[in-house]
Amino acid sequence: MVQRDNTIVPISMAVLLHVALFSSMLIAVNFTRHVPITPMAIQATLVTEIPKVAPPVVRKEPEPEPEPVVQEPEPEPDNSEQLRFEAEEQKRVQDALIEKERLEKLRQQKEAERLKKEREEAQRKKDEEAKKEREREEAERKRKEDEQRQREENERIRKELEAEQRQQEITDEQQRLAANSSPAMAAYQFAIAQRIRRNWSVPASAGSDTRCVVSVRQIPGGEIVGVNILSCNGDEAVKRSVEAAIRRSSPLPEPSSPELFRPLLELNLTPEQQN
Amino acid sequence: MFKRTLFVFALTIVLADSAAAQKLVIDVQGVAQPTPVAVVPFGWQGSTPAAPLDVATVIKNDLRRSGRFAPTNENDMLQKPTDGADVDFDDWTILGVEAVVVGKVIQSGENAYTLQFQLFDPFTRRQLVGFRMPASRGTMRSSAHRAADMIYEKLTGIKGVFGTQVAYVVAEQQGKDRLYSLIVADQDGENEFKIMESKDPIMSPAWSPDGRQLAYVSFEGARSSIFVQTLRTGSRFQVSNKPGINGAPSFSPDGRKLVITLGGVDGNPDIYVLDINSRQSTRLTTHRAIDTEGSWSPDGKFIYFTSDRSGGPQVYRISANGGTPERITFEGSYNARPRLSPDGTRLAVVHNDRGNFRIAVMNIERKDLLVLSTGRQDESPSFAPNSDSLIYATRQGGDGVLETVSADGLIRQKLASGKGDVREPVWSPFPRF
Amino acid sequence: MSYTKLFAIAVLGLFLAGCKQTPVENPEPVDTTYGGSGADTSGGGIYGRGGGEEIPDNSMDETLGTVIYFEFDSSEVRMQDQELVAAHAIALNQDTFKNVRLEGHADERGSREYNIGLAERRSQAVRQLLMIQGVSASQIQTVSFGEERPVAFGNSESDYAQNRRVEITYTN
Repeated sequence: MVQRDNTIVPISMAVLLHVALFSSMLIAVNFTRHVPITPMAIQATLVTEIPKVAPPVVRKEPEPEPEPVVQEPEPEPDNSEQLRFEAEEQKRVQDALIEKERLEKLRQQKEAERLKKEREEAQRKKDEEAKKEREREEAERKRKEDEQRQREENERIRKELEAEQRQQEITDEQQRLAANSSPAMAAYQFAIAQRIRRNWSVPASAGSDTRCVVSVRQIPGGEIVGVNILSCNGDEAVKRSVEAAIRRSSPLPEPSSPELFRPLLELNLTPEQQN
Repeated sequence: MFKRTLFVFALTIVLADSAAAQKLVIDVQGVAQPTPVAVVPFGWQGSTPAAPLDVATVIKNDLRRSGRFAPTNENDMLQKPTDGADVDFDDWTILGVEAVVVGKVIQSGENAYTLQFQLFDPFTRRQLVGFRMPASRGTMRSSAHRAADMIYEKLTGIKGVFGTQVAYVVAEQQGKDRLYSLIVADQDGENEFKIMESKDPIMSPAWSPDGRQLAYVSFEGARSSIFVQTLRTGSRFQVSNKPGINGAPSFSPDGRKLVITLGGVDGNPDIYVLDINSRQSTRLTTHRAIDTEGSWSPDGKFIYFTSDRSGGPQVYRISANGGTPERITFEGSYNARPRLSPDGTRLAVVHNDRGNFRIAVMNIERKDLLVLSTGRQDESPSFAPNSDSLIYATRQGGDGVLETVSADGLIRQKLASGKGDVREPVWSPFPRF
Repeated sequence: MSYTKLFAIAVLGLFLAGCKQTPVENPEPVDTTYGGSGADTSGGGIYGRGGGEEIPDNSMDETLGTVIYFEFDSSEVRMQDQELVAAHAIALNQDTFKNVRLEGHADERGSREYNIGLAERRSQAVRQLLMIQGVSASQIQTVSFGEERPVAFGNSESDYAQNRRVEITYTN
């Protein structure tokens, strides 16, 4: 045993190494990496989420490898206020845009509704007018029908009256003939008719269907002592002209023999028919 | 046997009695003939030797010219009363006079008078109408015409037109030039008033419904254009001056529009409605035929016009708001220049009757055509405002003259023709006071 | 007689004979006929042009007729007038600043305003014919006088024929 002085050096080296090891374990070296966090406008909630985001980054890098590139910006002194403000601003703008959109949609909707209403109104009006028009036409058609019916009715009545009149005339004629049918009587009637016809100025207002029946009373000699219009469908001018014509004809012509004289005459006056 | 004789005898008496009591029926057919009327010279009370106007003569001539009255000669009158109280009816019935007019003019101021008249029926011994009217020297003639209107209406049942006017065109040769004049006169030819004169033709005068204006076509400036002229002031304005034809103006019943003919650059005449105020015109016809001579129906609903779309001129009508024209005349190969009567019942046209151009009148309902005139070159018919007669232009020798005819064609009168070639007469509406 | 004298006489005789061969002739009458027929008076200014407002340049009249006539109830330009219209077309094409007015007329038969339409058809026929031959529409103006400006005032067929016409007037 010879080498007792040889073992002191190795033992002291071993003790130093252990001390160094233990010391290194006591001294911490910070190898954490600061990734710069750039706040993004939309992610307003980033403020509260930052702690969430950071851990994944931390997890990544326990290896003490040299990290290139990374710029470690100075942590901004309390920019949370600023961030919040900006975030709020963005939120406002965002809200405003949403609101604008909403209002726009609303306006368009209202516009569409209004147009729709207008169209419906126009259509309704059109329908109404069409309906009115149809009603008008219907009323017109009915009126025309009524008129036609009335016309036909009038015509029928007129025909009936005419037939009656003709019958009356026939009866009168027969009576006349029965009473007297001599040529002398016919001549007497003719003379009276001619006298009155010459004296009658038919007024312009007399139409082709104007007809006046007048009763005339005369005394022997032909003097007219009474004129009485029994019926006359002409106006005042016609009536006046008829009376004037008869009175102008006084004294009436006398018959060829006295027994033909008739004190009571009935005159039918009508305008002569043209073409 | 005695019984039988008695029976026969009684029967005879009965028969004889009934025969005697029997009325004798007689038929009389009368003809329209002039009514004998006496217009007695009017009395006069005033500062001058005679009245400012011989009113009785104006009335007498009006009645005579109507063709419906035969005035009694003054020399044949047995009495000359000026007041109804003095009328002796027997003095008139003995003459066969059916109507007697008496009256007088009384002066009440320097230029103030009263015109008084009474109309009597001597056979019924009744007064038919009597009026008293204030007048000045300037208005006395018009008052005399009004009296004639009232007498006429009472005796005929028809409204008189003695207060109306007529407008017409006269063309006169003056040396080398031809002078055209547009004239307005009373319907009896008095008070002729030249409202326009030109070396270039004047055509187609038309009265406004209020009688205050005339529309007409003038060729001044070597082109046709349409003017509306106010009679009282003489001022006029041009209402249509488009390129090509501007013609045939006729007023609407409300006086606000004119139906006119425009030809345009391509010369196809068509019917247009022109609003007088705005001068805007609306086209009514688009056919390539000649569509012209438009005139309104009195109810304002239709416009009647001439069109040769079927080959020759015929009358068509179209709604005043536009639409499809409907043909109206079918008789004959030539019917043109339609004019409705103011009462809307009849249509007057220029109609070719076996080679002669004559005036014909068609009843709108019955659609029958009655030829009224007898010339070879008759044209421009115009109804009087009472629809009872028409005035038109005809030829006598080489000159154009005017004639009137009653709507039934029975009474025709030639109007005194003055100088030159008279054409295109048009009757005014009733005067509005 | 000497031969010299004889010779002189012979020469003189020859001269005289020569003179006889050239008698004085009667001058022929010079016939100045202007274009168109004798009825050309209607083309002139007798019946007025717009009240004397414009004096038409009628220098063309001396060489070209200015009136065209039409058959009854017709607005067709007759064969014999086609050449005249063509000549006017040429004149108008040669000088496009020249303007022309075509005045249509009708005879007096029938209704006045309808006759304005008939006479216009005639002016338009001439206008169409000119335009087909290249004349610009802006050089042509048409006016219809209907029956209002007759040149013949009677009512025979001959009078009517003279009135159915189109007059061509140069306005500058």
